[in-house]
Amino acid sequence: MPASTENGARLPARSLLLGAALVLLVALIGAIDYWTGNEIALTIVYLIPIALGAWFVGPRTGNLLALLSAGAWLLADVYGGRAYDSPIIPPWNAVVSLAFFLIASQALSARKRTERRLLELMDIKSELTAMVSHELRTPLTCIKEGIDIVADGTSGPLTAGQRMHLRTAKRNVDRLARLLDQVLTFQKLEARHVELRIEVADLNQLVQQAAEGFALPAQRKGVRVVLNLGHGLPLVACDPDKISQVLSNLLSNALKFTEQGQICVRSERRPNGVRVLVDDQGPGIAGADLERVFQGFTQLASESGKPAEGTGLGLAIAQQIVELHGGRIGVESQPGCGSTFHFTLPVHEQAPAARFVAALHQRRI
Amino acid sequence: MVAENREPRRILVVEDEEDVACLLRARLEANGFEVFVEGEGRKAVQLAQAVRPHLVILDLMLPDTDGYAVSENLRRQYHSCMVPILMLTARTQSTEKLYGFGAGADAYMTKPYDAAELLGTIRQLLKDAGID
Repeated sequence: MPASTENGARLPARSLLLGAALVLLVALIGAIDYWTGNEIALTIVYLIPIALGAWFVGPRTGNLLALLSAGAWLLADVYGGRAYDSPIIPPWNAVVSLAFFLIASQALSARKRTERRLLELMDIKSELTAMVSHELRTPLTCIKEGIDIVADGTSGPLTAGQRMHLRTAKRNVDRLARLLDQVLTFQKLEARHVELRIEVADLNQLVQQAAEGFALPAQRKGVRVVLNLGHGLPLVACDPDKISQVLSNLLSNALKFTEQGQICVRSERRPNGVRVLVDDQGPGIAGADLERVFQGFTQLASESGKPAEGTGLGLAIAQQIVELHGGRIGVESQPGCGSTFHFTLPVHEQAPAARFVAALHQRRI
Repeated sequence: MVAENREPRRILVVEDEEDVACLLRARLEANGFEVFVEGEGRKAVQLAQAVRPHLVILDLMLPDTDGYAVSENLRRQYHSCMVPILMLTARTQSTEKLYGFGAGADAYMTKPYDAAELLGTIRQLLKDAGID
């Protein structure tokens, strides 16, 4: 709502100024036309203010300018058109040019209207998502806190069975809250309502931090996280928070599907940037499904055995973030041989090699 | 632990959703706080002058005015200009959070909240304010 009122308030002043300038332009062209009597050559020139008028300030000004153009043409024909020997030609010329200009103005303003409508619809969509998320959050808050307050014994002692059921309820409420967050994140990324805070970063460092975060959950599952990072990789320009999220999504995906063995995270130099690869020892992905893994909500729709925990948005979010950085994300996999997810970020042009920065860090320590 | 018989810490909860307010009251009272609930922003600023809370928990979407305005008003009043303000809201965007701090909030938490985190933040705010 605020965006549209702002538009409405800004438009009249701007349209008035533009309209006046364009009318002046039409009058100027009309005068030149009148003095030279050479209107055919000026058809294109007349079209410019009409097109601009229709484009910037809508059909009404566009039509007014079309009328003015045709009028100027008529005047030029009557007073300056020395070449005509029949009196019918000037008005006929004026009618044809009016029709011509009106059509041009209508067509352009219709396109402009469609564009505006599209922008409005996009605004409505993001407003709707924000509203829905708020409307969902409040009841979710009550359910979560209602369960918590009983489950932690604040409102009286519980039996073991009651506690177990409440724990199940709590786990699922938390899952619902996470899903809500992910849907919102995904929607914002899809609508490109995300600003990247670009810094020059060392991908290896981000990988190490992300891997440290997964050491404990992996250990609990009996899976090892192994790092195999390339030396002297160039720095990349990226939003470290967002890339950390990509790494975390890829690692959590790898951990989810790896029942035993190890997850290996590698980094390497590529001709077009720096690539990070995450190898898992999961069941792998069949060729037909490879194209679908980065689509949102894919997992929810798949029926490969037991439904895995999660929202199915993690990889879609990772893809959006990497593409927002101008990078590429991909996967290689064969059923039974595990999968390798990888993404490549372009190298920062003026970036010194990472080892210099590492050396600086060491000196500071 | 030092003073068992000290007066309980007063918390003003500005929240228009009755269910949320009710659960907050239960949670906070169970942890030894005295709780005042108000659903409207303007009345909440007045109530703050009357009860002089040690801390304010503030929702952002209120029926009469928004929480940012309430926060700014609290900061202008003599008895509440220094009170710790904890914004607890369903608005999750970082710009809204920054705006909240600009309006005078000391902490910002989003719904659904984690009870342990909420209590920890309240204790920390009281400690920072030199109250506990």
